[in-house]
Amino acid sequence: MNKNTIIIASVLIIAGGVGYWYYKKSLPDRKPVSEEDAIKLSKITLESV
Amino acid sequence: MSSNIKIPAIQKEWKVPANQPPWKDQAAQIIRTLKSNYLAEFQKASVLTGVPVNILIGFAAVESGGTRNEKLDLASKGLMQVNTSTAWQTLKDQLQIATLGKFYPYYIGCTTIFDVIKPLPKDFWAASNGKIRNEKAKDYLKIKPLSPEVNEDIRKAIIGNSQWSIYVGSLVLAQLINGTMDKVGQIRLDHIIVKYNSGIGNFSRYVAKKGLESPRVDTMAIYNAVPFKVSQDYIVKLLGINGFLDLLTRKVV
Repeated sequence: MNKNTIIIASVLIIAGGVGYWYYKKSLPDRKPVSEEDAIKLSKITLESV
Repeated sequence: MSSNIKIPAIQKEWKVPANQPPWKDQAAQIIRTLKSNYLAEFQKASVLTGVPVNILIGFAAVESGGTRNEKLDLASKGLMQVNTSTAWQTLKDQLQIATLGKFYPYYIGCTTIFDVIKPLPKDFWAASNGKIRNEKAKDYLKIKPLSPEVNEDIRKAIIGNSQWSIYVGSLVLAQLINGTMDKVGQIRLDHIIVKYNSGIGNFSRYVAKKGLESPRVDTMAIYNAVPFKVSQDYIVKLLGINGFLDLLTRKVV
């Protein structure tokens, strides 16, 4: 792998990471609950530590 | 993603004045009162929204202190202390994706805030209406704009109908947990407490914009970041040592 490929790959990885971070931040704090979501929520467990 | 929440999430215990019974005894009594008065309602809400019963009881314990609904004064907003505008927005959002069968309990507890745009079957829960119950709720119902009259109807239903109050509080929590799971990749009840108690705007200002909305940031850091004593107290009472969830998880009550 030459030097240019490594630089381009690094830039893409960083840009992807930043894009993913912005995507996560832009998600709503409240999200309506579908029936699949309700099943997921029902699997929440509390563990005493 | 793990669905497991470790309790206590913060190494703090709520302090009570020296002339009062120990906090653990007070908290246990509040849980006993809630369970004896409303356990069936919490169980129904849990089935409807998916939020585990112990989490619902824990939030209601902090919000109401176990007070029976009819004894709350008019300024309060029921067992789960849901703001009327939050209730309206939560129902409006849920209406967009729910099936008619899943939305019906929210509708029937406060019918005056909805317009029926397609007639509902008379014997709604009859086996013969199973297909209709799987249709989209938004094809049958539309929530009215948030006018003073709608606001008043929601307030009356929250105060006067404990089951509806618990349904709506559970739905607010379910939507907050659902959103937080997507954003953080973890179930963070401390984040949800701040959003539920101080509002999403304050969570954004004091937690998210300070880079603290991360799975690596612990509950103590969230506690220290929030400048509202009432929210800090909420975190300790719900997630702390001998907090409501600690007692419920250890089956002390």
